Amino acid sequence: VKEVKEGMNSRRVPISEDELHAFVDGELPADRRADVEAWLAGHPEDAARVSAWRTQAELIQRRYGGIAGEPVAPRFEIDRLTRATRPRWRLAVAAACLALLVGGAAGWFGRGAWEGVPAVRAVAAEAIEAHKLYVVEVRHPVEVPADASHLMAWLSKRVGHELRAPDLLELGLRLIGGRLLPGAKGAAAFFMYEGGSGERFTLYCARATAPDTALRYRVSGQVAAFYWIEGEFGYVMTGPADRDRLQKVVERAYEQLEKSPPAKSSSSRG
Amino acid sequence: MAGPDTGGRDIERALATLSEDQRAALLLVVLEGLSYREVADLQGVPIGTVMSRLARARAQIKSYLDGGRVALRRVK
Repeated sequence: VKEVKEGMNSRRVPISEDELHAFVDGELPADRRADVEAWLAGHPEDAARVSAWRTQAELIQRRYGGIAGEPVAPRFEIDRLTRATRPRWRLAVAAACLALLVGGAAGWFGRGAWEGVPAVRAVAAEAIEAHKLYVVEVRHPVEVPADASHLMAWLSKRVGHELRAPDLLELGLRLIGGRLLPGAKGAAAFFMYEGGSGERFTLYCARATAPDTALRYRVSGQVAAFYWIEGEFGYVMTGPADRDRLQKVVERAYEQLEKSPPAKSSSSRG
Repeated sequence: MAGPDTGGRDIERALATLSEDQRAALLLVVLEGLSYREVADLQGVPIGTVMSRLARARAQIKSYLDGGRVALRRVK
C-alpha cells in the first residue's frame, strides 16, 4: 500500500474527467500525473473507468494495430512516460489500413481533414524501414556509388523527376550513393550519407499525391526522421535519433532541394 | 471475461456504433498516437471538442462492452 495522503490530495486538487482522459492518453503535464494517481487511489470508480478506457485502447490496438506487424499491447506504461520514443509511424500505417477494416468507416477516413496525413506518414514509414534495413550494411549499403556518373540520371529517370542529392559535406556528411526502392506511387530514390564516425543518414524521395505539409518529426527506436511533402514529392531524412543534428541536416538539405526545379514540371522546360 | 478473439469482434462492433467524428477522434488518439492538438487540427475543431468526442466515444464503448450488465449511467 502506497503512502499517499489521499484524502488531503483529492480534496485539494479535484480531478476532472478531462484530466482522466488526458492521463490515459499521456497528455497530462508531468506535475499533474502524481495528483491523478493519488486521486485514483482514493476513487475506485474513477480508477475503474480509467482501467476500462485502457482496456478499450488495448482491444483497439490488438484488433487493428497488428496490421503493422508489431505487438502494441504491452507498450502502455513505459511509452506513456517516454511518449516521444513511441514508434508512431507504425501505428500510422495501421491507421492507414483502418479504412479497409472498420466496416462503414470509409466515410470518415475519406474526409478532407484526413487527406495527406496517412499518405505522408506511410511515406515516412517506408523510408524509416528502408533506413533501418540499409544503414547496417557494411559492404552493400547502396546499389550505385556516389562517384558513378549515372547515379543521378538513373534515379531521376526511374523516379520521373530530376533529382539532386543535397550536398551535406559542410556538416561532415559524405554522399555514399543511392538505390532505387519501391514507393507508394512508383519508384523512390534513396540516398545515403556517411559521417566521420560512421553514422549514416538517408534521404528518401518519392512521389506523393498529398498536398504540401509542414516538417514533421518522428522517432523510431534508435533512429529519427524529419519528413515533409513539397511539390508533389515526399522527402524523409532519417538518421540517428539526435534531433538537433538531424534538424541541421534537414535544413541544409531542404534549402538545396528547394532550389531544385519543382516536381510539377515532369514535362518541364526547366 | 471474454477471450481475445471475442474482444476483437466486440470492439469492432462497439466502434461501429460511434459517430464518425467520435470514432475518428478515438482512433487517432489511441491507434495513431496523435496528440489532442493534432487531432483538433485535423478535425478542424477546438481541443475541447476533441475531448468531448473522446469522452463520449469511450463512454459509449464502455456501455456497449458492459452490455447486459448493470449499466452505470453517469449523468453528469
